[in-house]
Amino acid sequence: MCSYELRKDLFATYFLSTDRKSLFELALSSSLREFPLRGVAWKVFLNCLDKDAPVSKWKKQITHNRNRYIDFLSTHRILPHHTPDPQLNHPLSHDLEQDQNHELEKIIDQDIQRTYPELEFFRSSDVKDIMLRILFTYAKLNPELSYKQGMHEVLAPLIFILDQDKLQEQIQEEDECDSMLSLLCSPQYVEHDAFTLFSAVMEKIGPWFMSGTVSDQITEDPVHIENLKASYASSPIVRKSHHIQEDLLKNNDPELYRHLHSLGIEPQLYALRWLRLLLSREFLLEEVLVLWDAIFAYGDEAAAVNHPHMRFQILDYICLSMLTHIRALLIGADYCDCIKNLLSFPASSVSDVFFLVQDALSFINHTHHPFPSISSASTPSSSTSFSSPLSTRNDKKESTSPTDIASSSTSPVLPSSPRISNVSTSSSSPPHILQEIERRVTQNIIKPIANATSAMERQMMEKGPLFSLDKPHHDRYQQMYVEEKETNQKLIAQQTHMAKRLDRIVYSLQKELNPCFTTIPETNRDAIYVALAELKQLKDILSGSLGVPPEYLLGDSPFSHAPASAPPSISSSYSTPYSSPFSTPYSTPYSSNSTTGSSGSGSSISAPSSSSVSIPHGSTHSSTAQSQPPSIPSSASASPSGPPPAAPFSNPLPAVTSSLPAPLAPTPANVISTPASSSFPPTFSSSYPASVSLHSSTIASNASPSSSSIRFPSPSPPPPPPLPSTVTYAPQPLHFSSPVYLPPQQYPYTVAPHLQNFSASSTAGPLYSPPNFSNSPFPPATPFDSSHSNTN
Amino acid sequence: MVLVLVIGDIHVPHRAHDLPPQFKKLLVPGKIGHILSTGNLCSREIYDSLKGLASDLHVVRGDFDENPNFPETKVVTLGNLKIGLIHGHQVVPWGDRESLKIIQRQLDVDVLVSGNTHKFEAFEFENRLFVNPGSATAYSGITFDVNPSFVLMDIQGDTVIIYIYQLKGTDLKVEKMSYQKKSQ
Repeated sequence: MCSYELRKDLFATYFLSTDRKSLFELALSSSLREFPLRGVAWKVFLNCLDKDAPVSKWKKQITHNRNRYIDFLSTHRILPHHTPDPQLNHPLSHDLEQDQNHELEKIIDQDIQRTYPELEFFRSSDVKDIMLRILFTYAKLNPELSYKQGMHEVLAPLIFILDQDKLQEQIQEEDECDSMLSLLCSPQYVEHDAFTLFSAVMEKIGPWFMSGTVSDQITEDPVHIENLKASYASSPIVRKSHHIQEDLLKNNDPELYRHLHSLGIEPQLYALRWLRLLLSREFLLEEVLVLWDAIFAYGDEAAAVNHPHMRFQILDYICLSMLTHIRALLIGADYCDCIKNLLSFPASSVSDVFFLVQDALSFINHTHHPFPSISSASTPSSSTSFSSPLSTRNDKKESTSPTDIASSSTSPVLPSSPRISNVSTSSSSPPHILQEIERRVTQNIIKPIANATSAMERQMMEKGPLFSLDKPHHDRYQQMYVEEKETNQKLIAQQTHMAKRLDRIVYSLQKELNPCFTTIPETNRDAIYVALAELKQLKDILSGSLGVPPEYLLGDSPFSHAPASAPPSISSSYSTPYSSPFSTPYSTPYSSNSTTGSSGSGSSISAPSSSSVSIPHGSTHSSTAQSQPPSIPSSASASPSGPPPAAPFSNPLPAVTSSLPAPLAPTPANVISTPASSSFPPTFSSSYPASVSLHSSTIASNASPSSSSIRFPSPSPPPPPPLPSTVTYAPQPLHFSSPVYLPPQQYPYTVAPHLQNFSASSTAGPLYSPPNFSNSPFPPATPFDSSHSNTN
Repeated sequence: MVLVLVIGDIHVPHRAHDLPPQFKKLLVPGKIGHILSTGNLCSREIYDSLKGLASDLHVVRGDFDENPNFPETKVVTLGNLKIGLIHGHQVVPWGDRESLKIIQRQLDVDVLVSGNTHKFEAFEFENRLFVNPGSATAYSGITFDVNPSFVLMDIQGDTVIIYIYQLKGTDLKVEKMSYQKKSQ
């Protein structure tokens, strides 16, 4: 609650003069969040208080409205059962009107009980009584519309606002301002004003609640059906929802429109709720209030008086911007996922509803930028959601200045590529070259972007309440936003380009390394794999199919630390065989390693790195016939178990055996499953030894159909089972969509009992079966498996 | 809100064709929970129609009832009250307070419902309630001054609110009284 002085000042600034345009502009730029006189503002927007009249006229208007409500209340008594006269009020009396009233009251009460149950404010019986009276009176006054479910949701924020507005204590009425304020915000009249506001809103959107009884009738008669269809189609709400999808979406985002149309999704499926409730059920209450600021302030054009489907026009555009915000989620999804996302709109994908309003305004003014095409993949991996993380991420940031970021990100990466292709012909000491590549890539790509995004985030968070900005600042802010969007589009394009080139680099590397694989000593080979996997991860991050893990934004390059003992620990970690269903063929080259190396790894257990914890498990793994594909199922487990011992490492990143695995390694509760074709499989489980996960990641990455055609000494690998196309990070500055649900049956692997502690606490449910040492549940061995002694 | 209809001495088809139309309009199924009938329904049809009003129907045998299988007296517990039901032709003199009190003590009830006099009465006597709903079709062999009547009891715990529905001429008059059982 802010001070009375502040209120008085604001009232004087924004309401006293008859030119109240600044108020409208504040509303449209979502700056009324902390505004203490929001209720008064809404009364002005909705014409309960004449926006062009001087303040003195308001007194008459508001007292007139309040007395009107008092009259209504007395004529439509709501609780007739309280009259004491038994002649009128005996239990067997069935006065038809009384019965109807009773019924109506019951229906309204049912809905009121379910209003915003999470908010304390709406649980008080006073508020519930007020809502009951208002809705009942409105229903009795408008018998043709009566009460329809959903009106309570429209009423709830209005009451909330007016209650926030009301003056807590008596004030000295020294001047006109004081007297107006005390009149407008008087606590006794919250109900009356709420009724007035509600009637004003319902006057505009009342027709949207009328569906007629057409949908209730079931008939076989074709003529009747045609009539029903015709009358249904003319219902204002249906017309409005069709307008959103058929006109607005088609013109502004044809790709999304085509997709929705091809799935056969009817617009009124989702738009009915959005429109009728004025989006009050799609977002949190405070966000809804911001949206309603804009909706009410924007108002209607003159023609809307006769056309109910044209009222609150900006609402159409806000719905459009909601659709386009989740376009990446929708375009890649099938019917079920689309419906799911539309019916329960992922409000988390919109970091601030301010952007929805701005987008809506830009659509109206035809200044919106065209959308990046999603279906034509820019990377060979054809990840469907690649643009969403980037676009949402970038949209939400404010820039320090556009030029800074552009310049920092244009630092060249690719001069190193010619060097790389030269290098690949020589097979001497590949690990060093690869490390060199990593370092350059990090410096030139990851770091500046990370810095830029973190800078933008910091800027965002420094922004305080906006309503105190005056008009010139708002204009500048708007302009900055537009500029920023342009820059972000450029950034996205650059990153995509870089990702493409990285991909080519990796491909050529793998191709070159392949023939000389057998000649490279084992330890180096593993390092190469690790490095390749790393590069692929970078590529995915750049292309956007992978989000940037939070630790990347911490400043120092995550690749900068490289324990000296990297090769031996890696090899020992790689000694773990695993015969997951989709990597069975791949286990073959390592199976020999496992049998021979298990003893070796056993001895190398006491590796100096922190994988000392992981390695013993790894070696015991090798002793069990079945071990697991740690990466993918461990990601599925999403286990929040603590990170593997980070003690030996002082860096903030979770402990890891080598420099490369560091970023891949357990960030607790990080689960990623990238779109099916992503080349970088989820490795971010903290439950599994980092090294093991890395190993599998390499393998699985090699298995991905999208990227390289790396040749193991084995037949061409079948692709891994498709992973769900959603990505989850927690916690992060970036926003992704719904969490990962991996169907358990994809991972019928087993885990050693001593490891079950690490992986057990999973939100995705039990994915592990007790260790089965007898029979392999995995598909029959390929010819190359004959060398592997562990499989049956 | 336990609604109990107390009605009796209907004498259909012997002395009347049917309940008065004003009563029929009020007595619709759905609202009434229990029916206590003092007897003298006199026919199967009335019994069936009362059964349709509420499923929990208790009838005691009146002197003109065609069905000999009704019991002479009945005790029903509703809310916290024990209610006794008797037609009243057993009580001599008809409607005498002291005689009714004897029946009440014998049955050990808080509320005694009786009929037979075709005259509505409801009084509290020595801390017990005595209710006579009168006749729903208002024939009396004793006097011309009779009005069709029945009683609706709203029992809530220890309290009874009694609504008396009387037809005076063609006007329906509703009155109300209440009784509360005093815990001794």
